[in-house]
Amino acid sequence: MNVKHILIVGGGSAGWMAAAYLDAALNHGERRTVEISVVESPDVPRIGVGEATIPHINHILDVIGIGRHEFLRRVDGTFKQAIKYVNWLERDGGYYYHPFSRFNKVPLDRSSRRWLMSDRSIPYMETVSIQPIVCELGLAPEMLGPRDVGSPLTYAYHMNALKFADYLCELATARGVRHYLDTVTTVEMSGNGDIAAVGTKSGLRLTADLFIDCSGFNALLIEKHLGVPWVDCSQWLLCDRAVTMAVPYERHYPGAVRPYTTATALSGGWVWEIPLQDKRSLGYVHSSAFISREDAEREIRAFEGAHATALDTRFVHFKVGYRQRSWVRNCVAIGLAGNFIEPLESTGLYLSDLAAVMLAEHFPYGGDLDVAAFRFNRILANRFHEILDFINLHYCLGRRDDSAFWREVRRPERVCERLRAKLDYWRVKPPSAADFRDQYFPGQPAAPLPGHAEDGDFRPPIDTGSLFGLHSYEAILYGMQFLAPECDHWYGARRSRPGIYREVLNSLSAAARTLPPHHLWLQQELGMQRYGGKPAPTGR
Amino acid sequence: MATKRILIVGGGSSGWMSAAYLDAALNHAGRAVDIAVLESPDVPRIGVGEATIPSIHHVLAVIGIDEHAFMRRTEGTFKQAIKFVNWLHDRGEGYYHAFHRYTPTPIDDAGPRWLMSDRSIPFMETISPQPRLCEWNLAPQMLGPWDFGPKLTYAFHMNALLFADHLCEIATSRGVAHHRDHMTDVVMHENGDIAAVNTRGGQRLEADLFIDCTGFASLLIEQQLGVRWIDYSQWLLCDRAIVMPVPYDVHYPGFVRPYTQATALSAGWVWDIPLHSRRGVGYVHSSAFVSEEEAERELRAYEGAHAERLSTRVVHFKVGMRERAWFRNCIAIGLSGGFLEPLESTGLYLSDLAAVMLAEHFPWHADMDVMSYRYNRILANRFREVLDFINLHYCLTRRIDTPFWREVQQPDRVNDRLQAKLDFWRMRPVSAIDFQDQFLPGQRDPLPASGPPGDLRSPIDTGKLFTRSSYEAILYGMDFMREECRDRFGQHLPPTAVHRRIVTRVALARQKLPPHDVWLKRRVGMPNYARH
Repeated sequence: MNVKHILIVGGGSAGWMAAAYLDAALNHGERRTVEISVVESPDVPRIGVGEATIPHINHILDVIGIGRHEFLRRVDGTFKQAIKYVNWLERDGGYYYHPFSRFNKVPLDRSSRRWLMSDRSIPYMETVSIQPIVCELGLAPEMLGPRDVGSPLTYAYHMNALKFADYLCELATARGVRHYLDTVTTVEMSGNGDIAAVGTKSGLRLTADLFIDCSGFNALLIEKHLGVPWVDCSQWLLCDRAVTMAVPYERHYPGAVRPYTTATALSGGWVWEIPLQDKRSLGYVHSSAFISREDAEREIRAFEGAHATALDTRFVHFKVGYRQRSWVRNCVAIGLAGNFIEPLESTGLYLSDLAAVMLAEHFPYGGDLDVAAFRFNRILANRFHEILDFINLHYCLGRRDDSAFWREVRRPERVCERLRAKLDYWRVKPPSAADFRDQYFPGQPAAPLPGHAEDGDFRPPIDTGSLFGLHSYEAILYGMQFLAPECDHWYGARRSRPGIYREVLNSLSAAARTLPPHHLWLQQELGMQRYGGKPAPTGR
Repeated sequence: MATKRILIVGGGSSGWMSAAYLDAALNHAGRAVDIAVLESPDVPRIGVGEATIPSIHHVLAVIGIDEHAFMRRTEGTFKQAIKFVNWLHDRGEGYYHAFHRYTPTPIDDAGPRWLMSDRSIPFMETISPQPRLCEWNLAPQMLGPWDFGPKLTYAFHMNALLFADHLCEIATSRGVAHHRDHMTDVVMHENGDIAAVNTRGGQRLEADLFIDCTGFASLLIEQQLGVRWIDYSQWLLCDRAIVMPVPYDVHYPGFVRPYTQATALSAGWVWDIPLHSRRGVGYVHSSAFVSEEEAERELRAYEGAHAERLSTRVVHFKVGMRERAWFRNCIAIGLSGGFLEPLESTGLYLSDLAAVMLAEHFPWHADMDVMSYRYNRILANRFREVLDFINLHYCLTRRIDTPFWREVQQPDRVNDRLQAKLDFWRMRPVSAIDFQDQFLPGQRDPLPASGPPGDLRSPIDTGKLFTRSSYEAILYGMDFMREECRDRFGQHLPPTAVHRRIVTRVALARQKLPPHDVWLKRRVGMPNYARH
């Protein structure tokens, strides 16, 4: 069967990103090979929170053909160079950074070994990357004015996800994607078990060759009609609810715009802090088993300070897990219908965009859908597990003893076996690049994960470290003081100060001279409004 | 137990590369490990012109060898590609596997675009300047400083014996001990580890870790520790080579090719590797399909009339790998660890990978078994990755002129992993994601158990060495999916287009780059020869 017509059920950022990306990737040039439609219910409330991204977003923008300035203007965007983790190791105001760029231009990178042999008086990341200090100084990763030299710094963005969806909708429909503002009421199956069409409230019957389920946790097609089960992963990640709050700059402007996402650990989870051009967006991700709604709300208001007393909050429920198979028959689940993982590493939009990219790459023009689905499902599941393990890592090395939640997350049964095998291995040999080529370690169970055996693949997914590789793991592990007792044992108690790469020192002083404060860049380049408020140093 | 002393048994390029690399990587901030090499004066040293791949740069950089000095010392020349001649048909045509290709952004659709064209221009020429530069015999470096955009990727041809000598000199000057003595027997610990080796000169050399660089003889890993060899001759039939140096004094063609040529003959293929003073040619063939005499005749005919009086030498080999390259306190590096025919110049690479991985998994204070578990897994994966890729070069041929070429197309000569890829790519063209985890529908599992005990899964090839661009070079060079594309896209396809970036770059390169031989003469002291 030739796939000529795609129907995306559900708008939102997942739906519109899929629409705009698939249109750009499949219909580029003069030839229109695939018709794409989106049916979006006017009744479904749209959830728009400040959202942080990872650098992969740049691929999406490039393929769709969106310029950076235009993008940032349209979505209230700001730069993101790192995530700053506060209070994760101990509740003492301590922090560490996971930046996007780091120096790595020597034939044999011995930086981590050198740092492990040192007295750790400088945080590891600061010995190899300029971004922790650039972030502490509140600088933009770009210079003012037209950039004629390539920026050495990698970055992503913070943005208003609702505005991004609107912008993508505008672009996609201008290019020929059809948009139905209508509610799907019925799903019509064909004799062979494929989806044949959907019926809408206003009486339309929309047929397609391929259906994309972007209906969120509702999972209207993939679950309600095709019965594909959800694989729950709440054993590894306990949070299942967030209380969110927007802090408009008109009410409180801290005097600067942080060029990074802050993730601060509280008693039963953590708070994201995402700066946009007109407000900061906050959300306390927590576990309902460990903290009540009221306590959580009280805690986020206390976190924000006195000016937060009168601000509105909203509760969002979620479940960590993934669809056993995201692609079954002629239906592909993208977005929350396919998977969800808490946004601690800002992977929400990434998992949707990966799905769109992989669908384009495995697009079954005339081929067998099952073959494409086999690979698509394998790749998506691998990547999901890769992220799950990495988020899991953030919790399990903590030393906090001040709440039941923090005592619970480091219990052995809360640490995924794959991650446990890595940590055990790294206690013998510190992590190095080869560990991420095939992440199968001694002591790892050989049993397949649920679901995959049905596809004829009896092997558990192998995480090939394509997203979070050595550098990301080192940021978290050494930020969390991994291997401290082992190093005392190996290298003795008296050790010298860590070295910093000369190149890091040099580019840091160049950055301090040439990079403007983040808010200044936003004001001058994008026309971000000026707000009162005394300039205060960023960071806490 | 802390690992403090390494003994490398055997010199040669594997032994000395291991010595020099490990010394540079491990002893870089003060002497942490004592390294010694035991090299027998009796063992004949085999030196052929050897081609490398760009991973050699990492080894040179870590050891701290300057590129020009390296080329002077080893008679090194540049290699920008491999040209495969007569692999598809026996009519003098060739295709290139270049090291450098342009990757269109944000989506690399060079392969799919070519598939939808009439194939009037070879795929590699649409996306890389190197096939043209190779045809013109240009160097990948300017005589002065480089001044036009990104540099070209290249590796080298060199004399492997001279390279070993150079590494020996460097390593010993930095404190690596060199025992010129012959091993007579091995002393074992009660626990089954190797304790020491005794030599004819009466020495007893102890170490914590032993590296077996004794070649196919495998004196430690096989003869002492009994680790099995896994034979892979089902997939690759060649088991012998006839080699012949062609000194430029006898015949200088008037140029030095900046690439390796691999020309298919009746029962295998000939490598053609240029150095400063000679070319090295070698006919890799299957003894089941051609006799030694016939092979020699064929090689002389390939070279031409001037080859009549040149001497040849026969080398035997076996394709396969050690079941576990690292067992107890012994690691096999070089031929004792594995061998694959040098069709993609991976011989030295597999040794250097072993040295690099040993440095990365060095058992400083660790349990050797944990380190060897990962090391063996990584090495075995990479070996199979190379095996599949070499296998690919043969199985798409349309030659039916000899029993050898008919045999290599038989289904049982195509590895099931490779077959699964080819089947998948017939449905959807090759793309980057296919190399992140290469488990494809229809692939058999598990593979013959060969991993360390406790690992029930077959190794996964994650495509770290030969990825999409390499596979595209071979597949499309071998005219993959010609009929399928015509069925799918029609009989009248638009003419193949060369990426405009390549057109510009080729034009610039032609003005800027000197002939390869000119560069070699001016920069690294190649002598002048009269053209024959």
